[in-house]
Amino acid sequence: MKWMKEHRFGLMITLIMFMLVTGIGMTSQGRDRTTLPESLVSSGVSPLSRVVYYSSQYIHNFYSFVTELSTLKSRNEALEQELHDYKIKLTDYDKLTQENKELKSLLSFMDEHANFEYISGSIVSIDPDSGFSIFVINRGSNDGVQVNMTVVLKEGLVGRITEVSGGTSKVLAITDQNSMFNGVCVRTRDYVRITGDDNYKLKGYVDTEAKIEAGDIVLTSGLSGAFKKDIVIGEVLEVKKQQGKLEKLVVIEPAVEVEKINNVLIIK
Amino acid sequence: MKTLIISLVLLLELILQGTFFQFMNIAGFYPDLVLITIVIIGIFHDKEYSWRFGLIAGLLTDIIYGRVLGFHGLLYLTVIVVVSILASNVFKESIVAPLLLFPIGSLVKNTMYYMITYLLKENIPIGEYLASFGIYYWVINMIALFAVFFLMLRYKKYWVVSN
Repeated sequence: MKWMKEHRFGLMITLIMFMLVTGIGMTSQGRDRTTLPESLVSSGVSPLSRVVYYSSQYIHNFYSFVTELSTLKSRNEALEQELHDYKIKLTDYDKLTQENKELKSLLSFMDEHANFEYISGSIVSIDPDSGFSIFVINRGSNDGVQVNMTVVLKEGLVGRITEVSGGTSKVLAITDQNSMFNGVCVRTRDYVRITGDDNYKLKGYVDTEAKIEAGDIVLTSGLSGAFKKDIVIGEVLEVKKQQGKLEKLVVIEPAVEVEKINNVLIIK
Repeated sequence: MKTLIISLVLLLELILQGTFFQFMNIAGFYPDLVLITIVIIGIFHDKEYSWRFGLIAGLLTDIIYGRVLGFHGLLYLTVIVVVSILASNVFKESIVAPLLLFPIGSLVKNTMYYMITYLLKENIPIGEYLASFGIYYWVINMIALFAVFFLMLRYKKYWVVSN
């Protein structure tokens, strides 16, 4: 008894740490719903976060505008050069337009996606440790959001809901290294196993026989269950053969610039 | 009351880190205000009182941003207990104490962070992780440490509990 009294603090900290480790173990695979106290904290913090987030973004944009004034001349020259480059690229326009039409008809993308019901949401904060890999949006179970719902933008796939509270939800971006899903190449119908990579890119793996190449568009396959089918993931940047491996590495540029989004759509 | 004040300050700092500093940063680096505050609280209070703030800050981080409940709770609890033990015999109102103990706190937090993420099979490339603690990290955090330390010293009566 005396020993316990003398070591009360040590015992208490050990007990708390044990509980925290248990918490880590129980939640490391993700959970469908948060507890009521967590939901209350998240919902309570969300309005203030949102105000600070948008105020900071406004100040940042204004500051960027002011600081960029001095560089306008050089930017103007760069833009003129860019315009010149675009004029050259314009010659390929007809070809690209035709290709675009073919792709659209191939996918029937817009028709299929008109059937989805959406919930719109805004980002209220970003995970300070991992950046845009995980972000919080101002829609939760009260708005009908559920775990594993697909988060998109008009341009393509953003991520999936990993945790839902009453008024907020956490989104795991597709560019996060923990994000794993299947895609399919539009042109060749090759299946691609995709995961997040550094610098907001995606990396995929395909069989060595796959005919996928740079410039191909990759869509969600709908096979893994996490994402709805036929949502644009991105464009293949390069395909690399890996020495001694039975798969080719595919580097994909996501259709959505995850680090620049403010508002998202959640597919019901 | 003092416990509530410190908890609200930690919450506000956490919100700033997830919002304001995502836009206002230098090459992606910004001060780790929560860690700085945790270290200063650990210096001014004994471990029997300070531990709760490590736990509160950590759990708030987990609830608001984290995927795994208890992850940051474990990190900040360990940091504040270690700092409180090391600071038990130092002159608390000198800037030397936080200058010495912040690097230790940062080392404890980030080593544990890397180890736990490794155990959770979330491999962060070690080179990339170490690169995030370059000169910018230390300069920005040391400037913030000075600012937060003298600000907290000035308003000591609102948050320091006399033993």
